[in-house]
Amino acid sequence: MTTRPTASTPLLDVRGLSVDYGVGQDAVRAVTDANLTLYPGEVTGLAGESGSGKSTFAYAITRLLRAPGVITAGSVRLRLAAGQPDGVIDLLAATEWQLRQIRWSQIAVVMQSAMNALNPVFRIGAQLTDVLRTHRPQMSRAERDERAAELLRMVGITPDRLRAYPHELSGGMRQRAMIAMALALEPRIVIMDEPTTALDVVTQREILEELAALRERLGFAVLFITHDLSLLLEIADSVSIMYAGRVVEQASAAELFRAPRHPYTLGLLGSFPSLHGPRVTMTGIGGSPPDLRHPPAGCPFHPRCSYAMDVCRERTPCLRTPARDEISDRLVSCWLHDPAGSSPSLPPALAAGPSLGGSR
Amino acid sequence: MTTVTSVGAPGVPSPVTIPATRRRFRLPHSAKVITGTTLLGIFVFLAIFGSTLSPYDPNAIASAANGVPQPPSAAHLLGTTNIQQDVLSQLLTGTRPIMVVAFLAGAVATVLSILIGVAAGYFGGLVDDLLSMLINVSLVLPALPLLIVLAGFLGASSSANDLLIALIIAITGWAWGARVLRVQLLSMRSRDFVESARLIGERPWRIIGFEIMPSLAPIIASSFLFTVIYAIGTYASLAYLGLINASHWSWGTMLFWAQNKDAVQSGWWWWFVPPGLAIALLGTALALLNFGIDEFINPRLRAAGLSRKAARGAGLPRRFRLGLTPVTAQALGGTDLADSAQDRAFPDTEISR
Repeated sequence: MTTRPTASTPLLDVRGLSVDYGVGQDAVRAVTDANLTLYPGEVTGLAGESGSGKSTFAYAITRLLRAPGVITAGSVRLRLAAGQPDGVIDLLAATEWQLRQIRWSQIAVVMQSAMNALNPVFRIGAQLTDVLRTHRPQMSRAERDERAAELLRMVGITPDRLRAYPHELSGGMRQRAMIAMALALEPRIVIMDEPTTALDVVTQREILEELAALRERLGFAVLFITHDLSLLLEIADSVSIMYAGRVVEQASAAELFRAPRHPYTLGLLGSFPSLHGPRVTMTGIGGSPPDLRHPPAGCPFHPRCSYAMDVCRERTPCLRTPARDEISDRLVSCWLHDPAGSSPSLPPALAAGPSLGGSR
Repeated sequence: MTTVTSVGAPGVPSPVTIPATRRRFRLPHSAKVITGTTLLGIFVFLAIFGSTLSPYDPNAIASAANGVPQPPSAAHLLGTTNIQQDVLSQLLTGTRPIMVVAFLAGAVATVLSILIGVAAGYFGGLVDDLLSMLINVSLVLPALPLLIVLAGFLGASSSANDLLIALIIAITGWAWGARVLRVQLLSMRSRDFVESARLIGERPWRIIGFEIMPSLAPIIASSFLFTVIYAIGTYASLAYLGLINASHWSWGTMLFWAQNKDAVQSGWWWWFVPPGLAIALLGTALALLNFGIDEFINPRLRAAGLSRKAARGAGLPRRFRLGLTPVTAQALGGTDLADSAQDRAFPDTEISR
């Protein structure tokens, strides 16, 4: 786990992003007022159940969301690379041409089941060099081939596979090839949407280890989306937990694991076994996520929350520093941690003491 | 900022009722479709009631005049021909043959193209080789000369038989549809859901009828409409060339007589403009209807199809583009929240908008 240099400024800053599917009466709010900050070289995780808005959020940041998705509020600010005229661009206000300049060279995306994005009738090498030909016109053919071989070697595929067609590679190799392709232009941000979901755990482990090593070397920031919280705690620096389209807790991975503040996070942590430590009964979370067409009043989690109070059913909490963590920069959206202190007694499971020194 | 009150959502989620008829056939309410349907409706009405509505017998010679066509008047709303026949009556009476021929030919050709194209594409192998050859030969044969030869054999009495003419036109018009369907079948055949149906042991006719046909519906519908348009043009051409019995009134026959008596050179526009316009309008109506079918069939067009009013109200483009998710004008306006966040995250730089 890396420690963040104190002076670093964020690469990407998402504020108050809201996304609707549809317009007008039939609109369903899939993401509500979500914030996210990405620092250079950091891995930020985004976790939550299926349908909690993780992918929608990430796609909206890059403006890749398909119809009928509409961004209804917020800002997505990206700090441009030093080589470019220094400044910050709002992706929501960017023109199509600006987005073309930014995508892949600044922000690359590895999609869910990205391996299907390979064209079946072209060789891997041709598909890898294609992007270089467009974005690096000054490169010679030999240089492009050399770079493509280097990219494949980077993700652990022997360069002779450049001559292979996609159907000649296994699923894991295709996924690696896609990751190699995403890194071709040395982006500063890589968004990975469940990049390893279709793979078995051994391959998953290999790919993630390679990814970690690459990040050390190349220094890109990663936004990693998954429903696998245990995986995320291992690879991420900071983690955002999403529920029903809202970010309900944001903290460093270590603090989140040691001292979850939101009851939903606690439930998620109680849903997978620990390989070390004493044997405990897994609890899970009762019920199922709310229907976003008819979200419950107040906190969206209250129908499933065993600590729900009266205020939870009436008013929606907003994301802020919990009462007992004033020194750290973690955020939680729960009335139990309201700094105004209306909650009389915090349940012990959510009240682990503030971290000593912290990880950052 | 200590509290955020929730928006006025109902406390208890109301039970969601899924409408029973979700895929009811409802054409989109666009101007194109409404125009097309209205026009086609008028022509269908005229095809049924045209001959009863016509003020005169189309063959009747109104008065023994000098052999010069009379321009439109109160007695003859669209004027008369050179032997004082009423043009309006001819136009109304002539609607039925062209509609019968066009739709019958379209239906027969579509059935032929489905049978041959789907069989060729689905079964492959020798069946495909033979049927493809048949399709290609029909495509290569020039249709109009063939039709002229066929119609020439018919003679005056049988060329007035609309059903026979429709069949002959269908024989020359099915090949394009068959070719398109065959190619589509080749692609559909290897899709996972078709292969899984095959592995379960479904019979070919069931796989074709229940698994594949629904996705072919848009192609079949548009191929039907375009074959109908083709049949209209072909029937009018045959009549115009005088290959159809000249006393069997249709729009093509009217054009044949107008051409014969030099109507264009003499400026008797009321004689040749109405049938020509009717042919053009009927073709337009069918083409417009085809747009509607396209939009109805393509689920993604439907899903993204915001009403123009809703889109404008939210400050969004009417059509969504891949890779350029729309942002509402309200979001772009910039809120206080965003501005203060800017200071926090990027204190030193100016945000380019």
